[in-house]
Amino acid sequence: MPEKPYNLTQAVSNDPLAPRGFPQATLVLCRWQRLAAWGLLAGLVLWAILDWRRELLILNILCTVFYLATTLYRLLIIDLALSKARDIRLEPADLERPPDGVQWPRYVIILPMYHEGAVLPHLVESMRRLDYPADRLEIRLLVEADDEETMSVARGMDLQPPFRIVTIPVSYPRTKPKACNVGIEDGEADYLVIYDAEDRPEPDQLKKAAVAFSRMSPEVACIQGRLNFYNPDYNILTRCFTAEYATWFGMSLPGLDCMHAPIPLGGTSNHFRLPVLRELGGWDEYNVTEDCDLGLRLHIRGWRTRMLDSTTWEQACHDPFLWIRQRSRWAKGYAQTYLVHTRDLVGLTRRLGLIGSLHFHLLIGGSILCQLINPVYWFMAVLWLLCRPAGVDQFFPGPVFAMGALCLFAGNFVFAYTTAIACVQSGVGHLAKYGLVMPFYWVMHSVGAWKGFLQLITRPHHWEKTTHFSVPVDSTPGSAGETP
Amino acid sequence: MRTPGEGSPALPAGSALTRRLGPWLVVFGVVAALRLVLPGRPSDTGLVHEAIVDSLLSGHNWGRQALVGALEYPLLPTLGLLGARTLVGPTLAVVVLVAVSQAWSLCYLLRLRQGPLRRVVLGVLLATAAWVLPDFRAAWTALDPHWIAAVPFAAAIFHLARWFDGRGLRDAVLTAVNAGLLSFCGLGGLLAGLGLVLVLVHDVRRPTCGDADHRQGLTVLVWTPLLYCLVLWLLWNWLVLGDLLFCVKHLASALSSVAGGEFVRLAWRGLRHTPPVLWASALCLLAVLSPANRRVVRAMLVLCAILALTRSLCLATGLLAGVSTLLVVTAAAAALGLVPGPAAVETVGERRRGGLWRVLATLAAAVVLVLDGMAPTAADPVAEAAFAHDAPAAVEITGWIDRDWTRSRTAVFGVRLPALYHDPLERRFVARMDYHESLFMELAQDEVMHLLLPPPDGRFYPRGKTVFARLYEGQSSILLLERQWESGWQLWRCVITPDDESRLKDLQ
Repeated sequence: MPEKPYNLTQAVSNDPLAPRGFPQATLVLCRWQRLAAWGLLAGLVLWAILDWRRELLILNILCTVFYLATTLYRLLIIDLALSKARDIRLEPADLERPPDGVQWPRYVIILPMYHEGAVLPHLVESMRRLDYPADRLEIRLLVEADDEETMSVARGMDLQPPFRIVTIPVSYPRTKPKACNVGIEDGEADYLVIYDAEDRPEPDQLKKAAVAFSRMSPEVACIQGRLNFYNPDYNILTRCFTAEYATWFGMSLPGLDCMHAPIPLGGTSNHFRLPVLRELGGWDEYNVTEDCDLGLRLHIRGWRTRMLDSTTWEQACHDPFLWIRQRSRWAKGYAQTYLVHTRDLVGLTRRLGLIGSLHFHLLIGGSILCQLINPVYWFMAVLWLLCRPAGVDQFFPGPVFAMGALCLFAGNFVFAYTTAIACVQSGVGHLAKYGLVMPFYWVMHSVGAWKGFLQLITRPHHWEKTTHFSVPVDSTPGSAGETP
Repeated sequence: MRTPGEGSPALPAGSALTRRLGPWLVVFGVVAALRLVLPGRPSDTGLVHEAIVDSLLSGHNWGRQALVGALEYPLLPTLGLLGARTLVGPTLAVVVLVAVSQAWSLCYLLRLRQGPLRRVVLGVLLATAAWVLPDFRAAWTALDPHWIAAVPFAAAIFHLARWFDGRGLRDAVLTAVNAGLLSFCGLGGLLAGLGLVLVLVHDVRRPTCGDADHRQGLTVLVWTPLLYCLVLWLLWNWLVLGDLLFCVKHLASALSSVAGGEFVRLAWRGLRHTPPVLWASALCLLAVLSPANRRVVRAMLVLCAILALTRSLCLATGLLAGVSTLLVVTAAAAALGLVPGPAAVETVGERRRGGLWRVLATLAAAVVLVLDGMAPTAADPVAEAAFAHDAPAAVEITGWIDRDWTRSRTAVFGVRLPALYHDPLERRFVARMDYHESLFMELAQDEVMHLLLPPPDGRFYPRGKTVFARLYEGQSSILLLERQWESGWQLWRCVITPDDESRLKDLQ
């Protein structure tokens, strides 16, 4: 195999926690984290034996304060997104000529694929619709060496430049970020974007990103496009999923952008300055939400991520079981990311600052913790509403009860209502009413989170692959499914 | 390319933030401080809310029941008072709550006008009105926790005006949320909130407000907070009082106690006693009506009409109209803020065409205000809420009882009565929200129980054939009248005494 100019796959260090020179999710816990976890567990058991009532009271107080903080944080993010949204918006006139007036910058698109033969023709069609000079573009299909299905379809399509098939050798770990790293070890380009197999980016997205990069300050190393679904109306799950995406990409990320907070990238439509990405070492191949981790690493190293007002249409998972699989990977990846970056807690706080690290804890750690403890509180709330069991009062003294009631009645409403707001803002107003049934959808979140959490212990690097369907499952003729 | 905020930090830097918020913090601080030092008139409404807060803090069940089950003493003022009391203690709680509410709502009203000079002019106008006009003065000086309702009301009007001006999603959402919060402010707040939502929905449904999908979503957004608050209110009634509709029963009872013809007569009388400042404001709004500001002016006129009708409904049924009165005053102030509103950009031609009409309307408004200034206060919210003037003192009652039944307790039902004879530890007065004979009998199983009944004049329970009216008339086989005061108050004793306290047994 010829030597590649950039090494983004080989270990350069003997440190098992950072084989490629930056903290990676090779191990779930570092030494002190393992000790702390066992210590915490032992402490909780011992405390329960000694005085379980006081223990439950204290834990309840901590959880209630945490819920309250999360609710206020959400309110702040949404209000900022509504009042000071900073996503980059470009008019068609801005895209008429290259940023430097001479030629468009070189762009490389990477398309990691594994058993995606059925959707490959649709993907190629979407890429062909992109409005970008072919001589300044390279589209790399990253196909695993043992993936005969995809390889045969790709070869059968007789793809010509700018398309290029890159074979990914079989090696551990078998993850998407590993394939992406292999895919960018050679070649020269100014910018890079990654798309998933089922993606349909808006045709002018590359031009928008190129112009945006040229007009941003140099520390902007990544531009995140919006993601949305082309099959929102297939069933209630896709409706809720679309509403959730509208909230995340339409409000949460712009809100975080307003606060200069770290932005966890979405897995696709991330446009990078390629040299910066290589300098950072690419993606962490051991992390199952490598996008989130990369977003944090960018921020920690002083680079900035901005949001672009250009949509990539994706396929919403419509099967609850497949949805939970996908969600469990996301939850596991967020937990991995949190644990990786808290290995050096003091250093993290120093690099991010107090406010930045608060963002990190609430956003990355907080979201997972919420999903894990939610079922406990839902169960208690239902029990309290229906049975009023004696003795529960002792765990809810006056101020705690007030905070708990605020979280139950106002906090849940804030989360559901802001989802409805995001639907209206993102142009899927007919889904606003589904924002209000989100509490039922959150139950599935928690199931996925628990599955991911347990898998973090048993199979930390297992990649629960999202299944894509060859035929767009769109129930609404003339809806977004046909638009992109 | 539009990159809002590009090239500068997203959040305003320290100095920019200070520049933007600083003046408002100063205005808020100055107004609140002024209100704190200026004299105020305590109200019986405040007394009731304080009693509820006291009970809540003592863990007394009546407090929880009164918090959610009383339409006249709604949730938000009680919670506001609870918060103020937690922060500054019981002595200053009401004053601080009123000061903060007035200052906060005033900041919203001042923001209705563009530019510092116009805001200063509005501020001076409002201060003059508070000094000169009896309605404004009475409302401004009332130490009434219901003032907290003015904050979401002013905020809703402010965001509604901005919605009409720029159609920002945030303004629609905040109008809807504040309208929802108003439903926790009693009947006046609830109907004002409903009015705001209806006005907003009417506007949202216009084709000019985006495509059908957008409008559909906006309609959901606008209705949701109000409906959610109402559902919560009913849920809490079910949880605390075991009756989903307990909170509206008092209103239903009050409505059913007034006959149709009598109701119309009383409502008309109430309407005639609407503070003239509201009519003056409506005339001023009409005076500045132009194509540019017609939406916001129409919305304000609808709100004024709703508030006037709500207030007359309250007065006709004998319900406390405190919130409505305060909202009327706030609406009048908001109307002043909208003259000329942010959207009132007119052409010279339009101004000429409407000139005569404007002069006439302004003159009419001035006449109404002058008449109002000369007339004695017709509907003083404090006087209206004063219900305890002829009640016998607690010491007098207990002293009387102790002559024969040492340390016997007295049951008091409802909201006002337990607040008047507030006894969080229930040593001498047992407070309950709702009267049921079985409940009373249960209490009387263990001790000699008395029952205090005010006269059936609508102050403590609705007029008409209510259970208290029947008890007052002596239609109960388990009660014996012990004493009746000149003011009409009655003290009854339950004749079913506990076994070990029967004097007949001693005689035997």
